[in-house]
Amino acid sequence: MVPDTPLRLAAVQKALEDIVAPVLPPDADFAREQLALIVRSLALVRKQIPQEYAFHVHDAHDFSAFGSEVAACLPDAHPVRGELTQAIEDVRAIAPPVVPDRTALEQAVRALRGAIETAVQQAGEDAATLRAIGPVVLEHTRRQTLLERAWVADTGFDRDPASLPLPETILYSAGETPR
Amino acid sequence: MTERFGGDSRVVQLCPDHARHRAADPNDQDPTLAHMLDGRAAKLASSDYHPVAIDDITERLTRLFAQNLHPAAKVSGLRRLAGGASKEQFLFTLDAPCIEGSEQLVVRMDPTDGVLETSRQREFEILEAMQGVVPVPRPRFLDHEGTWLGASGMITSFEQGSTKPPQAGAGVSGLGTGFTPQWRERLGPQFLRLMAAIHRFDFRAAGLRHFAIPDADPFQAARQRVNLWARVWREGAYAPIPGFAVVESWLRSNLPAARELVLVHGDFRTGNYLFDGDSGEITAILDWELAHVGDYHEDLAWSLVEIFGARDEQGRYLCSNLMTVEDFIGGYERETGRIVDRDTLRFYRILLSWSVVAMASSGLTAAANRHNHQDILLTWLSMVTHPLLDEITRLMLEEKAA
Repeated sequence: MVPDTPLRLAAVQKALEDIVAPVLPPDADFAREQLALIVRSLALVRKQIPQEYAFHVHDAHDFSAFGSEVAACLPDAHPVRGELTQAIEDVRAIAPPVVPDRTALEQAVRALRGAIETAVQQAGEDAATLRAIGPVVLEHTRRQTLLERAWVADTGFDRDPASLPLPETILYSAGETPR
Repeated sequence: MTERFGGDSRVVQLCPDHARHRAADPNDQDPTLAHMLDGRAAKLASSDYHPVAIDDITERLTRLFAQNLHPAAKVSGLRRLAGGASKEQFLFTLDAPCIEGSEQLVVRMDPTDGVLETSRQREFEILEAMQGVVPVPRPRFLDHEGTWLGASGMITSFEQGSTKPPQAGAGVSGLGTGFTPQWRERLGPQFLRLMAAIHRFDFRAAGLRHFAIPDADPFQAARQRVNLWARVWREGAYAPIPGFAVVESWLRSNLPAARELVLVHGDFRTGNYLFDGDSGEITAILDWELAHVGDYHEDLAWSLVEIFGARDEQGRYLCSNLMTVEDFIGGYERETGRIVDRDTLRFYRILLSWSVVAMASSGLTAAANRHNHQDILLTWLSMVTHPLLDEITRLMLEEKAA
């Protein structure tokens, strides 16, 4: 249940507008101008975040196609051709072929979590089923909680932050490059 | 019969008493709290909540005192108080011919929604009852219906003191307050004495009108608390957590019998009391909105919730950042003559960590709906969920206390 970034940014924006802005002195022109820019930047970032990854992947495909067109125009023996071809291959090796719609993905995962919660709740009414499902759920909670604790460790709420792994070590498979 | 599940050395006690499980009627709720939660559902369709403007609240307060205290009453110097994850709070000065000099007062008002729906009427009543029992603000005016303030609210005296030592650090809502060993020595014994004094209070003789006494059967106190937090979760959760249902099943299957009912403060921890920065004397116990009649283990368990504690210079965990768990429990037993049952304590530790997850998630929903004056604080505090789920999981996987 890590709060989504656009929601957190919306809360930051509301605090700046509702609490901070009204108490700035009328003659604090520079601070008022800065605050207005901060609020507008936050609004823009909130809007962009859901599409940001798709934007990068779009760039990857678009520029590798464009780079290929440029490469095709170059004589085979041209000294930059090899370097350009390598750069195109590097991008193609990383970029996923399809980008999921982030909002749709979040909604689908949320629905799945809800379906699991309902299943566990209803199964829990029967002691025998609960005995079977309980350890599975607790083990998953322990695993998921480790990632979520690591994700929010900088809040200072954790009793033992030094024991937490970096989120990257959980999010990316062994040997895979963080994207 | 005790049934268990779990592999390795981890064992979870499950369904020790099916009759008790069957008795866990989900509709058995504290009537006042159930009424408050009914009201919350009606507010969900409200539009964005914006903090009350200083001029606006000054005008409302002036009108309130002019009509209820003295026509010449004057409100001045109103300013917003920091903190307050669930209420809008302002400090102001009241001048009126009928009071000697001027008086500093605090007004606490409900936003549209927050971590939990609570009753100002009930909070006001318990502050009245606590006068002379433990140091608390004096309740001065209740506007339960929001006739004057525009929202349900109350006015109390302003008490001097601080929630943290001078120059010490603290996070939001008093979490992570930095105490030196000297401060712990000063505050720890008072902390225990004051909790014991609250638990000695004769709530039956006090005839509290808005507090139900859960004594229909020995399990009712625990059952009503499980029902409360299960309802808060079901009606306010921001996102599903599958483990939540397992915890609820475990709690319903392990309801402890209350040995003795007491007045439970409900939020007794560092951050919710004020103390004098020179003498170290505790000057006021605050935030009574979660007060209720229940099992004394509940306040003990609340103080043990790990996010309210910290580690000392030797790396030992200190509850409420004041004392070790064993010193706390032993001190309470000596102070009150009561026995602390480790299984009951463990039940309430799981229940209360679970309740904070429910409140945090509910607060996040309030922020997503833009229904609070502190959306930023609610989104920040929602991140306590993850250490709490870890604590719950560890407690559930522990061997049942001997």
